[in-house]
Amino acid sequence: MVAHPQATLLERARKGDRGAFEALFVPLHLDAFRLAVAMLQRREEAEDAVQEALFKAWRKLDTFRVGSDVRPWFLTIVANECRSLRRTRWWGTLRMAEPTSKVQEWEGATPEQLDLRRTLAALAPDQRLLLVLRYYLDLPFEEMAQILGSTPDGVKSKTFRVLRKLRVANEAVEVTVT
Amino acid sequence: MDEQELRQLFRDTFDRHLPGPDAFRQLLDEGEERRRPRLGLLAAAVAMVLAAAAAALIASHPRVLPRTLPASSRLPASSASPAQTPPTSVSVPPELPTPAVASLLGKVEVASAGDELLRSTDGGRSWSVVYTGLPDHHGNVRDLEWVTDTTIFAATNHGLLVSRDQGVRWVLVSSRGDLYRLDFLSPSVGYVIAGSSPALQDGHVLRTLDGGASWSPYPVGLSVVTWIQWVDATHAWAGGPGGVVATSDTGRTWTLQLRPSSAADAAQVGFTDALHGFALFDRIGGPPELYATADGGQHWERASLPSSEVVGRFVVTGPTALEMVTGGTTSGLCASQDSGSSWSCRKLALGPITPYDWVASGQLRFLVGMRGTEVLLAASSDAGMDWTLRSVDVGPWVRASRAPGAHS
Repeated sequence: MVAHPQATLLERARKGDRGAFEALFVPLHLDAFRLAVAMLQRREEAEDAVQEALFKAWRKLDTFRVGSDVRPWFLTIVANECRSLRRTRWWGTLRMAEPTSKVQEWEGATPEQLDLRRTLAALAPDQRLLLVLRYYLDLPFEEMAQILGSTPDGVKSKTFRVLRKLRVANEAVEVTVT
Repeated sequence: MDEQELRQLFRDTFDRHLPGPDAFRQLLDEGEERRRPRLGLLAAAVAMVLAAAAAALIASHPRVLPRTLPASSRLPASSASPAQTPPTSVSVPPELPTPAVASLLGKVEVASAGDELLRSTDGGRSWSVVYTGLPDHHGNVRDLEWVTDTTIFAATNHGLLVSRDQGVRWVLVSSRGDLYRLDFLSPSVGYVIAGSSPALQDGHVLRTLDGGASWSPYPVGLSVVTWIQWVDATHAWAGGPGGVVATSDTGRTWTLQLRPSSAADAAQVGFTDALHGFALFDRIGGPPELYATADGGQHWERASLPSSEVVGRFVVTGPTALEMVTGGTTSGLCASQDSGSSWSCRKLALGPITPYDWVASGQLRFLVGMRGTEVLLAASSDAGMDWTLRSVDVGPWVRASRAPGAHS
């Protein structure tokens, strides 16, 4: 297989080459789904958010700077879609659908897992995003800063502040920073 | 627990809910049609020009009286001569239908399907099309509000409509397409939640003093506002992710009364008078928080919810009474008479439906929702025990909103 530099893939994707678009974004599927599932805590909504993010990524390809990293750029879009999706749905509908699937989705979870889920749900979306990016997607602070539009030091101190909040909120997920 | 253990807990908690790589490719496949805009846009533009020309021809004909459909019929949206045709020169991005309904004391009901408006005077057994919406099916009604016995407003993505004859004839009074939630005090004075998108991440209040013809910003002290309600000319409440604010001096000053216990994403307020009301905060990924007050918001008491599962917005039915549509094991219509201390729920016998809007008036209930590409209009005269159901095909609206380049 011939390896294409990102600039070539980008150029081809901008011209509508599906293969090039896939080559750019399929490697990001795990990070994208992880981010959306942990933020929204529901698989169907996570898929919707990722699909909308893919669509917007395609539309915004012209604005992507050649030489930049695709991952933080795409994850920024996914994070925005997660925020937008829930707000739009709450506003637009009475949200009655899929109660059964939601219950089944979390069957078999351990108390620690349920605690983590509840604790995350109680955090502000931006605070939750910090923890998800750092501890679920294993991103370095530099990349988190790109996604959050901040500095690495700023992101680092915010992350630790949220960890402290987590400790106060729930002993089961008390975290010692090493 | 150290950081490494937290990482493991994240994976143990969420990894089993991840879709696989095939799902990602499937999402790419499903989006393929959307990612072909150039040809699609050209075709859409040609279709729009043709539709506009056709509609202009229709508009030049005399107005046809609204038709009343028999109870047993299914309403074919836009298929017959409507009462009124809206401006054809309007061009707005299409929106998925978000059906709305408003009831005038059970005497006249108006509901929306896309931006088509329907009217019933027999308790929802039959509905007449009174406004057809934009010819390209890009329109969407976002909110309906009766202001007097004769005046009703409709916020749409192509402007503000008003009817001054109980919903029979409609005129466009403003072409603002950023209005989402209406709260009029009189036919002249009104407030609205406006924003750049349905998510209302930048939701803010606007005020009109001339029946909606012009609007000006109206700050209430919240950076984001998702709801406002005036109970009279003096008292009002507004809510947003940051909390609930109130005024008791005609809006000269606003005071923060309530904050959510943890970060909220949106808020709703609902009052029956200057003393009794409720506030609901919704959180992303978490259960909402419901509060009740009996002293105008001096004190707010946390109220219980009818279900720990997904819960929607509420409708106030009395000073200490409210109803909610819920999911989970108690899926259905839930009512509380004691400010949310206790609830009784009954199943919604409507089959599969995604509810969007509903009203309660005495024993009457009107609920509108979506099932596939149909808007369902449900009416009950016994507080939700039995329902009369009508459907409206909104396939043209759904297809327009999903067409290539639709969200440009």
